[in-house]
Amino acid sequence: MKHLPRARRKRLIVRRLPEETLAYDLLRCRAHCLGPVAAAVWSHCDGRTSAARAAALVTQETGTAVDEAAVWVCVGRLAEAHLLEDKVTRPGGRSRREWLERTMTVAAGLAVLSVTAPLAVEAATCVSNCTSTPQNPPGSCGGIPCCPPAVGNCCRQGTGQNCTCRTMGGCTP
Amino acid sequence: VAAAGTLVAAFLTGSWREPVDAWTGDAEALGAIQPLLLRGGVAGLAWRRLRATGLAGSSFGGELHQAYRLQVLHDGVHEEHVARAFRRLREAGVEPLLGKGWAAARLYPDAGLRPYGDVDLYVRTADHAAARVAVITASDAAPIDLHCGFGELNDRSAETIEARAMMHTAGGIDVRTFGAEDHLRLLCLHALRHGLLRPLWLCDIAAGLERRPTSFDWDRFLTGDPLRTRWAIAAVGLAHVVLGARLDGVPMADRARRLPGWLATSVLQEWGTGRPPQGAREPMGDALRHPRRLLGALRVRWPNAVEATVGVRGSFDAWPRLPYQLAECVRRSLRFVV
Repeated sequence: MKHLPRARRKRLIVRRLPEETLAYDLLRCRAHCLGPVAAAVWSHCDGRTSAARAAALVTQETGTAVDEAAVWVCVGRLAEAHLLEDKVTRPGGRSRREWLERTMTVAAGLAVLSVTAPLAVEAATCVSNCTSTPQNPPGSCGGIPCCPPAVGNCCRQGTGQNCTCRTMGGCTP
Repeated sequence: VAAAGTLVAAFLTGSWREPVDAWTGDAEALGAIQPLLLRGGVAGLAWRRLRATGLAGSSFGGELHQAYRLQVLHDGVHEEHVARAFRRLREAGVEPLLGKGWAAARLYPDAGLRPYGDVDLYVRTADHAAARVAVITASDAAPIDLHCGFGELNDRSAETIEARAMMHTAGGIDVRTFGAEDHLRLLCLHALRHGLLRPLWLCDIAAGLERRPTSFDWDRFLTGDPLRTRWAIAAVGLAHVVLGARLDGVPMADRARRLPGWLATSVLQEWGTGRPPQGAREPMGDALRHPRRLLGALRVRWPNAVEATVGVRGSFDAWPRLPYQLAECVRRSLRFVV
């Protein structure tokens, strides 16, 4: 019997909302949005639960009929989003496409979407490339928070200097 | 521009309340102001009014939803920053006070309704040097805006501010924030100093006003420099006039309602323009080296009537604002040159 891989817990911030689960990867500065089925599958990724058992549990928890194939599609998407600790090896016998075709009915709940910031709200997220960030407006560093492990905001010390992640004070206006 | 600002205000009216009324406008109206909502830091609040409507699934609604999701997650990131900063400063023997940002987000029913930037920490003037060293030398430092003293609240004693401080839990540790009265006054004065460029700042005031604790001490809110007190009352009045904040139980409600006509107009015009706030602008020194960009840089820095009045310590009265704006320009230019 094939067990599901273990879910990643370290360096992640997870927020469960009524209709979806959000996860922020502090290592890669990526935000992900998990549909209800994907979130339920993720919660059973413990290295011990079999796919068949997980399918039954997820069906019970979400009210959506989920089979083993759907569980493996979900696991694949979770792996692509780096939300799993272990490497995923699907049971043989079917291609990825076949798995997907079998799971179209619960496709919406399976979704593991990347959450991207609309440009205008970048201040609500972070920049991982402060020193080379596109300057908008030209010449400005934006004052946007730098993504961990860098700290501070993308600012400049003074006129004519390069953008750097600064931890003190605001940006040079 | 003023019409767009009015629409932004209508969209945000009551957006901090629980339960919230669904937005009843159409797609065209949403499309017209959605970029302003994103730029104004109120995407989360706007999404809250939109989520139960048919427009939630539209492309405009989708961007607001994404912004809300990011804010929910960023609350977690920011909480870690807050906890880390407090730990560092306590190790250095400094007990800071947290204001604005994370503390302001506690005024809303949901932490994802407000964006986050710096961790605004206020320390006593005597502690500033030690706090600065602690923050700079920390290898895992958070993005901190360390204030020397209590900023706009420096017209009251550190002892009374600290005596009224409140405790919250962030990242598993206790963190100290301003008392409700001090924080509302700080939010009012900070928003006015920056010309209420961002609609978010007036929403903070409205939420702080309506969701204040029952023990809220209005005398405490009104204590301090009389001119600043009049400004704070005007900010409360603006939250009522522009965003429909309720003034039930507010002792100076009549004074708050008596605003000069230009004040709300100036705010709505600003919101309709969506100017970038200070810190997100092209440095003036850069613009001086590229004369073609100079005019734009000056235009974006032209002080609006609110920030000009506060900048030159004027009153929110019925007199024309142009002299204040010119005086503020001179003041800023001198500061830039010096």
